[in-house]
Amino acid sequence: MKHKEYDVAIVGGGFSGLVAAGILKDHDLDILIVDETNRLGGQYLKTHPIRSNPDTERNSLQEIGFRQIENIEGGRVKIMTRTRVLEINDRRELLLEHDLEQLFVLTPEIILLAAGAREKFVPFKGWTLPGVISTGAVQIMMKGSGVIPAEDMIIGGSGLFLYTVASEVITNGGRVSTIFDENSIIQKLSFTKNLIGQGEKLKEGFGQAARILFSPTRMRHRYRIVEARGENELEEISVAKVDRLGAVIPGSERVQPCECLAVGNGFAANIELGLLAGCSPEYDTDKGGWVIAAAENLETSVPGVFAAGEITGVGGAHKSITEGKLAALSILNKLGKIDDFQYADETRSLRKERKRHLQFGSAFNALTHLSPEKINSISDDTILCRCEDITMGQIKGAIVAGCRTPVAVKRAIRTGMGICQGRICTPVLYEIIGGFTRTPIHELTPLSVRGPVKAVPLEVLAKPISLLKPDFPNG
Amino acid sequence: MSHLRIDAHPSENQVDIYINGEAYTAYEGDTVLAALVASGHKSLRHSRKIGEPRGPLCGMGVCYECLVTINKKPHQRACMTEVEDRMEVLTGEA
Amino acid sequence: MLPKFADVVIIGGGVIGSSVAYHLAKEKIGAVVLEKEDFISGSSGACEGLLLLQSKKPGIHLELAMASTRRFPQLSEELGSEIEYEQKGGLVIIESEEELDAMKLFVEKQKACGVDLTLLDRDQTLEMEPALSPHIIGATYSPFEGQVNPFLLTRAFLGAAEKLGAKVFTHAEVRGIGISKRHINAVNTTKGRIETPLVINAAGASAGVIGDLVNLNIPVKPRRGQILVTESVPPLVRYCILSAAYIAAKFNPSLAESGGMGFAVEQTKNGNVLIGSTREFVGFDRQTTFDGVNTIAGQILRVFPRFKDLHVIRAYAGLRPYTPDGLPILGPVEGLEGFIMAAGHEGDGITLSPVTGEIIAKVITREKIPFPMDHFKLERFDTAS
Repeated sequence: MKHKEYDVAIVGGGFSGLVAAGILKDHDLDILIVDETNRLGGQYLKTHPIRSNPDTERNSLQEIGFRQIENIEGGRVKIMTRTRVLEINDRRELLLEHDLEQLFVLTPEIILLAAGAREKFVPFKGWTLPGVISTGAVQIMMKGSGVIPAEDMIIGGSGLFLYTVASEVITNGGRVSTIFDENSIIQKLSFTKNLIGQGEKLKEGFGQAARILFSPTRMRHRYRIVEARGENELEEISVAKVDRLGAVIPGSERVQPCECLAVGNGFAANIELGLLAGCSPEYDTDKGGWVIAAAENLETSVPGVFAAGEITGVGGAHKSITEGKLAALSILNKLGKIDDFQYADETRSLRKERKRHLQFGSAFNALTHLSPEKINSISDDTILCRCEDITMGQIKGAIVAGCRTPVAVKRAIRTGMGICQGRICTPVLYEIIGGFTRTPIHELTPLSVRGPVKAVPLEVLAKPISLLKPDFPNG
Repeated sequence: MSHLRIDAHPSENQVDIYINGEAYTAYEGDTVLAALVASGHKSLRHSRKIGEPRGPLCGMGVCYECLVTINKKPHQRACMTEVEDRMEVLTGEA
Repeated sequence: MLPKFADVVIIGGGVIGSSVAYHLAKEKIGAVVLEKEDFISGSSGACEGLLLLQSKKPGIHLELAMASTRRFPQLSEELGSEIEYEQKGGLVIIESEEELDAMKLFVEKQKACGVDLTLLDRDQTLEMEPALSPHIIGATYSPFEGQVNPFLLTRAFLGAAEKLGAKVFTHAEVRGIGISKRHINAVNTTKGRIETPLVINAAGASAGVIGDLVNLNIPVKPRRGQILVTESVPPLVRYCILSAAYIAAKFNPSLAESGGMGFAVEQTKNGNVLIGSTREFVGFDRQTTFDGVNTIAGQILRVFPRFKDLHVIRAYAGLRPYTPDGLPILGPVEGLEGFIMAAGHEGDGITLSPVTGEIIAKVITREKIPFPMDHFKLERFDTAS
């Protein structure tokens, strides 16, 4: 006899997952939400678990988020934190690992993938030196643990997130001596037109700008970090001017001391679970690169598998909230809980909102776009794949030797075959291969994903697998 | 090196951990990575192939650069583990 | 662009097709290699690199393997590229008294064929491979076994073949084979048509599918093997490891059910530990399964408890080209002039690739072959389709 399964399994407890769970929970459905971290909320709601930060008021977005968490904690939603999806197959079966102790299998009727995004990096010589850290790591360490990585730091890269983090460092009493932004001030200013009519974002943006402007932080536009140097850890950096296309202007390099450098170049969607589930990806620079393709109702190419949030296109918290709502309503419609009229009615404004958020995302992602000129300026002795210590020169060599696809390069020189499973180097690898072989990136087949999606100790993989059934008696 | 602690965060519930045998006071809810950074540890391990020193990069469980030995278990992500009383952390894995 | 004519067309760009192309090229015969997917995307890219003798049946199978294994120490130099060959020596781990009895017989037979083999007791085994669990009873040891990187090996064969005049086409799937008066005359592919008098079926697990195109019943079936890959770590496993149960599973499926599937372990030059593998008949399904992965993990921890903290970073599955008697199908086919078999190596394709290339080249140049080919001919099976 077939046992009762979960109706919906939500992968990822960030904004879109939370909002979706909040809507789904009131419809007599068994819902499961899993998250890899210790508590729900994703990166945006990251706070110190014990000490809240009295200085920073919760903004209205955070209010929404925390209310959602309280909301679903009381409902028919099974919450599993410290839980990772190790595998999904094309039959919608999920293999979960909880707390490095237990393995569970389940086949929910619907899967909602809301796995978020990770930071993207453009490598430069010496970026592997201790002391070079990501802007995201700085933010997480401050928000989550109340620690600033250094008394004085420099921030470099591209995109608006540099300013978000700089502003938070300053608020928390840290010092950011310089922000080196690869974009021109004009590119950045032209972005602000996308904020018109988006009150919350505009307020947030002005707040950040004001904090940075009224601090001793210097802003340098059209500068790139070209090298990090030091004996065993970071001691100094070399920065250079870049031209309009992103190429380094020869002779413009300058060296300055630096004990901590935070870098970031936008975000890449966490598409791996979707690929493993058999969902078709799409490449769209407006969406931040490779994402999981989703229809208007956010269903992927695999029936019963939906996607919401950054995974369908990098676009920020507002987009995630809208997509969480839209996905939940689409799921209710698919499960027959709301009829087509109600569905059309309730999603009309959400679809409009989503379009606006996608436009915002497109402008946001344009600031971190990797031009061929930028790719070209990565020196041959720069390590690209940190796990396997593989350099740009080796990758170019493989391409010259006839490897025209990501999989061919990977097999030839092992890029992306280390313990991070290519999460850090592949987003830039696609751009490199596309650039040097003059192939549009959407024509490159993304690397296939093999489970386990994240590295897992053998001991854990050998635990007995038990069936995960809903805790709540079905009404 | 308490100067890396954000003043506005009131410090309660101290947790005593050992980093490479040296006692360090962290706070409940800290990640092991935050405790390592706050105590001045930048380099955490060496890369497998060429043996160069490495520190944390992503801070969110993706890059596996912050692998340390925690309570004798090797290869643990410092950024994804919260401190516990009397936890022993060893850096310098290859 | 595919050429219009070719002296020889090799179907399959895996390790066997690549070796055949290389050995033909050495004889100044420039073959066209057709690979239906990308480079090395079939079983040669989803296997382990163990070069084993102890897993071969004493007799012709073992003779073939011994001849092939002798080629490896010089192969990297011969092909002009690194193949990460290491002659580490191999251990077959014995876990029970029944296995010990079976292995004693096996050792005698293998020795009679000239394999240098020693039966070790528990202490000797643990001294040689300290990561093993003390519950084991002993092992057999062969110093001539080793391992190679299957990717690099296949690429090296292909690269050397291309330098000598072979042409390789990927994403060229064979859809039809032209026959006139029981003679091969052409191959139709998704990339066009080539006229040729000679076709070599090196399609691995898909060899039967190619057989269907010419109305031949080739009894090669895909037999899936799932493999776990761990993170790269400092040297942990010194030898190429196989379990006695694995040998049993290979030759006696019913024994496999009672004794488990056994395991094979190697640590690559890069430091990753490869742990395999299952033996399943599931058609052409190349997915790993939760149960398969879980079972392999459990089995290996029993024997290598120190592996418990190793991170598994991926799992993959390959399809072995199984034949009913465990021997490959090599050579011409009666009644179909120009159709030559080079497939059905089960899990021995990597080990047997050099000798297979040699044999097939000799078939085509009509030189004397130093093996009794009757053992390998297709007609040993019932081929009526």
